[in-house]
Amino acid sequence: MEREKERADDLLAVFRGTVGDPYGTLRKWKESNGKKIIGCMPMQIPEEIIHAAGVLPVVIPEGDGPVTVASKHIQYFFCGYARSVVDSVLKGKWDCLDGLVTQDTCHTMRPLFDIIEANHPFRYLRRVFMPVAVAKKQAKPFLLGELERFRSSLGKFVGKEIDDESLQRSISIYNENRDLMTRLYDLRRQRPGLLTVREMVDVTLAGMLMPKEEHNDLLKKLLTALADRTPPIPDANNKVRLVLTGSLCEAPPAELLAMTEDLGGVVVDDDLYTGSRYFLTRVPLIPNPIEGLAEAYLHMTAPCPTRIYPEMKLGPYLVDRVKRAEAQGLIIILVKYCEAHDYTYPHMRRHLDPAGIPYLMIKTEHETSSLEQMKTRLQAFMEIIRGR
Amino acid sequence: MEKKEKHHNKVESTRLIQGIVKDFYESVNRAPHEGRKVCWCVGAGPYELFKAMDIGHFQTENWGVAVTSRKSEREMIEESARAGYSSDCCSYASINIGYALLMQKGRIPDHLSPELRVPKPDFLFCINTCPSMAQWTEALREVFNVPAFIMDVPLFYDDHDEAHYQRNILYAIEQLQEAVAFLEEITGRPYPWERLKEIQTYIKKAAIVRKELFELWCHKPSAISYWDMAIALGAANVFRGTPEAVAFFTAIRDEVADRIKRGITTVRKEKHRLLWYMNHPWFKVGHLAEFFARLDAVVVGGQYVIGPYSDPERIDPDRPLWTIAEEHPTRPYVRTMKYKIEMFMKALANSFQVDGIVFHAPRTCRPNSWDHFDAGEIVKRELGIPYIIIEADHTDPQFYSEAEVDNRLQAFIETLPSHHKE
Repeated sequence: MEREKERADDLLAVFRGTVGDPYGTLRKWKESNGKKIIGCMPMQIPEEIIHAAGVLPVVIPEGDGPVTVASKHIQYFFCGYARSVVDSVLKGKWDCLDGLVTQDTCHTMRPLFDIIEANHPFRYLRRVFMPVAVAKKQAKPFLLGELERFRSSLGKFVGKEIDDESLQRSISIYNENRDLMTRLYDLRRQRPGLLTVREMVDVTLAGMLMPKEEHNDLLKKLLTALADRTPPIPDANNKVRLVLTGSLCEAPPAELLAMTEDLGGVVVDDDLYTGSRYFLTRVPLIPNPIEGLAEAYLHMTAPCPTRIYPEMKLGPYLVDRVKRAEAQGLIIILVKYCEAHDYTYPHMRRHLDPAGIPYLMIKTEHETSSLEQMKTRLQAFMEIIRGR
Repeated sequence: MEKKEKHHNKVESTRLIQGIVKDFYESVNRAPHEGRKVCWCVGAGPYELFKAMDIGHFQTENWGVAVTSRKSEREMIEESARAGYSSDCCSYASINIGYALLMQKGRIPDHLSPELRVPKPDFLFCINTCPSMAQWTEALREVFNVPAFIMDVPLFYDDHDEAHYQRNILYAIEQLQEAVAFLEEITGRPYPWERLKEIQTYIKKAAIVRKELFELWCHKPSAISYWDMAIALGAANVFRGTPEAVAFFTAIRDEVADRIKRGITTVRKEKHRLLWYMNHPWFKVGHLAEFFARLDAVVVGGQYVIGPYSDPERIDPDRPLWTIAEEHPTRPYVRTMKYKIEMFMKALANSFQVDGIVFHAPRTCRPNSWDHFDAGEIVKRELGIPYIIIEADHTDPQFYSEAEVDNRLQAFIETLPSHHKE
């Protein structure tokens, strides 16, 4: 028992180590493997295409430390994620990357390509336009063309065409990762407190920074090891069951995650980008793998606030997710200056209120924000739930 | 009362826009009573499509400009905030969504001008050149529960790839064809292509006049300023496609030609010529015009007030959807920084022979705040033209600090060399 418990902690320590020093981890990986690494900006670039090229795709996390150099290139009223990534790039922290691919996620992401190209270009710097109005009939043919252009461009860079067989193989590996993460999330729903919320976010974040094959291997070991782990949050049945949603493009602040548990909550499920949103959508294995990737993108399981649908589905999706998890409350994490997400907040309320789901909206910032105020609000929220 | 001396010699013909604005919005307001559909358009889009069907339509941004110019925006922004829309969101959207919410509650502010009390939409149209437009439209759709057509605009990220350009144009045309079918369904009528051709013919006529005006606009010393063109912009934008718009620009062109002939200038002593990049604080147009003029400076030109359909060669009424597709989805917001530097900064800086560039960074508008730092440095390095970045906002006065803006601009102008010859 003790040996298995230790193994779970050891495995989680690997994830923590990766997340704690992404630059160092990737530099070492590159030195040992001699392969290329290409960074992807969030949230929907099809990494499988990069993986199929024999390159390690990584999703760029929020930069650490204060934004200094980047303030000469991007105003403070752009989200902290974007500013911190520009800052990290300009400071050379991402020099281990052979390339960077950006997506037109929102109007903050759009200019990042230009800033990086003008100041710190990578050998391969590419934009991919993923259609915003995903349900329109023109979206799929356009996207197919766009993905083929990307595949072709990347193939030229690595000096080898990315064939369908390689792409199918990569999709299978990524789907296996999605299945394993789904199992992990199912396990957490069944046994809340088995992992802390920070540990769970670490698992997802680490998966964005290592080969999926390696992550799959670690996940299988973790699922086995967790079966007998003594939960770090004991007595979860007496905690306030919470779901976290939001925090697009970046992980929620560690302090906020810790607060949810310190104040008597247990996170039973999430709808975070550095959580379920990253792995929920499986790519169908169909004869044309590019079409499979296109289908997955156009029919994402979790509706993305940055995409447009014939009607807004985020509200009903959240209600369903909270109910399935038998949660008592929802914490909505809005990153400051994330305009696309801001627009959806009244819509969320319109669905959460009639469903009787208590919710608390918290704005997060890259710079140190008022933690005491956040704690007070969270505390009051928990007390309201307990009193119901 | 003693009349305050004006240092900025405004082009008088621009005042005609007031009549155009009034008539335009009154026509929108009459639409429900005349059995015409009403469309709220979000984004700088193909208004001629609606005009051809006599659909009462207006651009939500242009309406927001009119609201803030008359200082009527406050309650709407507050209502928007009360509903949970962040004040960090585009102030055009805050004003418009706030109005929609107040309208649903029957609480439109009493002080709002009658012509700006626009009716509820029967449908919404959005062109997503600025990525926020679609989310704003979604918010309106939820308030009004009406159909919304959203035109997805791709990025023109490969400046030198003709196939990429054509693919993007085709994507736009396919959606425009769908938009026409959408309008036919909404109105229950077949699309009147001949009427669209007539409107585009007027747009072309106006473009010919505007091209002549643009040449006069570059004259040194200035006979028409950026601020004059800002006032006139609406007639190239949502009010276009009419004989009145053609007459309006003809009057301006003729007045400016006459000024040049008679040596009448925007300011008495033109020491400094400036380019303005991207949008500006609409509620401070008069103030800024006077402010610069008092310092013997003229903001001579800028991309934002050129407006759509500036090149008559690209307007072909026999190819209506191609004409629209080559114009609206190719606006600056979907272009690379390199493209914008060449076309909207360096080219204009040279045409207008400027000494400096003012970059406006609106606090609630990230698309209009892109590029400033890097583009400014590149232009300074390549053309030797200094720049300043001013943070304010396009329609929310709470983000405009007059003292700070004025002080910084004054300090900047004082660093510029004077080219005025006594």
